[in-house]
Amino acid sequence: MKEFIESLKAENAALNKKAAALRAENKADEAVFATVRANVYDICATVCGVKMKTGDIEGFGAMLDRFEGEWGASLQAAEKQDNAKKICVEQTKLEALADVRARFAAARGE
Amino acid sequence: MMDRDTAIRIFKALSDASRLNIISALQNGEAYGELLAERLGLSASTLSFHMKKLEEAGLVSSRKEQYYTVYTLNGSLTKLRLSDLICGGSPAAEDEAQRREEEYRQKVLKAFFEGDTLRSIPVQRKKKLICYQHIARLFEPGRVYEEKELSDIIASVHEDYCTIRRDMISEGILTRENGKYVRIK
Repeated sequence: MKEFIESLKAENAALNKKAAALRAENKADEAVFATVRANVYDICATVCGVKMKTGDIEGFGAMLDRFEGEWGASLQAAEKQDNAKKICVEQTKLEALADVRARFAAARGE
Repeated sequence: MMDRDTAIRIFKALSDASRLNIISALQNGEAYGELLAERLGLSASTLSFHMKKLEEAGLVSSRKEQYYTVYTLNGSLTKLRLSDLICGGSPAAEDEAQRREEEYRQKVLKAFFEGDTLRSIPVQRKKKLICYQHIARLFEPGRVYEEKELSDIIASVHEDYCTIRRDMISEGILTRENGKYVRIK
């Protein structure tokens, strides 16, 4: 599980670097999306670390489910409002979350 | 004559390298969204976001062809001279627009705030920005805040301080560097 957390931290660092590069290329909106994606890995790494310390690794899976529900609802609300930026942000968060979920399953040998 | 708001929307839409690349690509003729995304190395959702901005500014229009979206450049706007864009709008109209904007701001704050407490985070971006700007007044511009201090201040306004803190950074209200935060607008 430690390797899993390290992989999330590495992805966070790589995405923050990408965001800085995009900003330097005057692609401010895409830089925001990269930062949003990076934040998802950061949050998941932090929460997983806490869950691991407290011996409640199942709680991490439950948290992923909760995030998916909340962000899915935010996406639907953004689509109703026709808010293009919010739609893109919520899609980005859900894509990153799906990647975290796949990594988590692989780390548990599922 | 073009009004000032439209001119600002156009300038904002153009102030991004990817959107300039899209305009440049469309100058060769209309194109399918998928093809544009592939050519410019953008994901479908990112291209869709950029196209929405360009459409809102009136620079591009779209039409559906079965499952695909075809984008076309609005030649009448892209052929305008810079001076046509800059000189649009009158000061009186601007004053009126500012008055209306302030009225709207007060209405949003009244709907979403109870004293200094945010009832809920608005879904609509414009309303959310107004609420975040209102929260930003709790921070001195230019002063460096530690994460805990900043989070405590935001938490006194609304419990979901993580979302608000992240949004305020992505909206350019705060900057974060090495865990320290500064209000920039």
